[in-house]
Amino acid sequence: MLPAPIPVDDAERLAALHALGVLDTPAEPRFDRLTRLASALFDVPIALISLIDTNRQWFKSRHGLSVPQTGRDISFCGHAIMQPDPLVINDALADERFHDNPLVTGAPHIRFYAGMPLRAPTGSRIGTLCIIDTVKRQLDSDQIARLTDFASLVEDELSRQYVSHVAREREQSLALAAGAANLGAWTIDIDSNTFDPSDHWRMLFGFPTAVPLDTEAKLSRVHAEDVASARQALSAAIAGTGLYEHTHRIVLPDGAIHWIFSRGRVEFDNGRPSLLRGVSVDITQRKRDELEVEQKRKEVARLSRVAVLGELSGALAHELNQPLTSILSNAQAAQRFLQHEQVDLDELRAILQDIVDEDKRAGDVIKRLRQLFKQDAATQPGPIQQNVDVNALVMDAFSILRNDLINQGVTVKLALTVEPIVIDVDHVQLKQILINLIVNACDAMQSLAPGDRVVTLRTGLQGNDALFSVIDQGQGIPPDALEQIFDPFYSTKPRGMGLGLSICRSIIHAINGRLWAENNVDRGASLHFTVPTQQPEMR
Amino acid sequence: MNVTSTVFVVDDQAAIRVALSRLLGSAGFAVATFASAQEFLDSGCSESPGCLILDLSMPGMNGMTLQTELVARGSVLPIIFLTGNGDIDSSVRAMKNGAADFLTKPVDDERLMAAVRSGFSRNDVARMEQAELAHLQTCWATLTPREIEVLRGVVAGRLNKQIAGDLGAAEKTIKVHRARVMTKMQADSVADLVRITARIDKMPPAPD
Repeated sequence: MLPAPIPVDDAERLAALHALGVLDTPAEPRFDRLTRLASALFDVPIALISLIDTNRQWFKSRHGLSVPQTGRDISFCGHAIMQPDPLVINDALADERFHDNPLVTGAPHIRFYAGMPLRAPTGSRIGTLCIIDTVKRQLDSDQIARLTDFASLVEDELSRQYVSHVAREREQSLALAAGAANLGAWTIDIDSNTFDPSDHWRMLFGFPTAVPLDTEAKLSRVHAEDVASARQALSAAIAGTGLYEHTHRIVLPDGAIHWIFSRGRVEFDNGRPSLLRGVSVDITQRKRDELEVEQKRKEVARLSRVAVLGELSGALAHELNQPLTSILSNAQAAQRFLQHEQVDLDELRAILQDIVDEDKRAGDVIKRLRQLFKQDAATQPGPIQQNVDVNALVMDAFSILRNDLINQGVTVKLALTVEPIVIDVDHVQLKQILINLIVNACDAMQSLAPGDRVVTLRTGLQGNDALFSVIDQGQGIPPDALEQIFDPFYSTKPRGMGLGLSICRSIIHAINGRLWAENNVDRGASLHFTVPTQQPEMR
Repeated sequence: MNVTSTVFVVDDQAAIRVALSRLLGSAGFAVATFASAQEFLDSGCSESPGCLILDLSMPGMNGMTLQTELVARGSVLPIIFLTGNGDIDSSVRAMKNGAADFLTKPVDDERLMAAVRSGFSRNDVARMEQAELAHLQTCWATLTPREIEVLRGVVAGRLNKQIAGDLGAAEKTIKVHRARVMTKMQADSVADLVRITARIDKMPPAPD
């Protein structure tokens, strides 16, 4: 006996076979029909669809045979696939390849064999359609042609099997991807108004798998306040743009409210909308995150005001003390003048005028401070944007601190841009940041003699950004702390909260700017921050 | 109170200068105001009788620096500091440097008047001592080197005979020198002379 040979391209052949996804699948009538017919037509007891796997032949369909598979080496079909034409063995006992084959000497006692190779869509011969008898037979050329026709019928069924197998695999991987992305896919047949969702969609919307659905059933889940807009989005997509996009809430059977974003596209049939295909995704978590970010922003803004107010309390006391001192001394002088025998009325009038003026001055101080802190997170939903000149901002911050700086013996040098630079920002927040940085710069120079304490305030351009610099003459910052100083609760001040710089950085980042520190070449440190001159959302 | 005494007010804030000047004027004090520490130094008023009301924090030379400068110049003008924020550090430093008082703004009139009055009397005393010392120094300048040698011997508690031995002179000559020293230094007794010498030397009197 000669065992069935292995063709040189067997690996490729096996790959083509496995790609069909047919091995070890249950018997199917469409294949069994063909073997039954072949058996009847050729008047043989056995007809098989045999597929040659690595070490076996496996029968997709077997008429007149009970075993599902045999070894490849003893298979007739293993020989048949070596050639493109049918292999016909009239008498196995007379053939040296098969005379002592166990399938010949034992059950099923093969004497006659005719096998036509079956080709996969790739062209590889993956098996045969074969007919078998236990007595010697002969096939005429018509019969051989018919066997060939039968084989092509089997090939058609196999390629159909292949296409559906591939489609099923695609569907499965699509469902997997959709599930991973938390996407529920759906289609709406516009004519019949039937709604066909994926299982994942049903899970998102809380529908059991089996129940058939229409668009009204789908709308029953939509939050009452969003139903009208959902209908509108749907009809707008069908009537016009062909694109469907809608964000809405749904109420699940257990009462939970979720946020859903849906997007779809209308498919047209001869210019008439026929199908809307789309996906829905649960964006509840994203919505929650957005809300949280907004709350954090408000909290940061509030903390920033508190921090700056803390820094300013000294300056504020000093500012108010001046007019109060003048008022008290003037008033007490007036009381004393009134005890004199001759009262100088002109002097009294001048005193009262000064008291009025000084009182107004104190009022102005308070008004200016109120402006700096008038934003209340509770009443102001967002920052107030407005165009401001960078130099005006710096001068404003400086004027608030002026008295305090004098008090500390700090000299301020101004190196302001000659070119006017206008930025569109929340000027109150930016002023708070400048105040923070100036106060920090002064604190950094505590160990210097009052006359040596110099803060330089610089403005200019860096690319398209406005650049602000606050430069001190202090000890500088240890190189490994240049980044650390922006961490929350990092502070070098004995009573500092360590929030100032981290808050400043959050605010600057929020407006797409940068805030960083560096040591000066000679001495001291510089804090720089940039603010885009053109806000991105303005385009 | 010395009638010629003046209250000098140094403050960079014009409104406060005017107000303080009115208040002090209403109580009958003579007042002179200055807008900066430098302006006051340039005026030469640091030698005048009176007292100085000084703002602690001013642009340019601040109050503390002016105080240091005045002490260096040997001024005896009492300084009353006025400050917006009475922080402990600067008040301690000011008092250590000999400030007469340290008041916080806004200041009550009675408190200010009391400080000014006590400043005046302190200035009177200081000026009197200053005058005395100047007088003693004038007397001292009339002493010959030999007379100073004898004086050193006397205040060291040595007898005429011993001094004569030290200086290689006759005891009689020493007696004459000693009498001249007593007259020139206007000393009533040896004890008096010791005190005067100590003051001139700016040294504490030696224990008897």
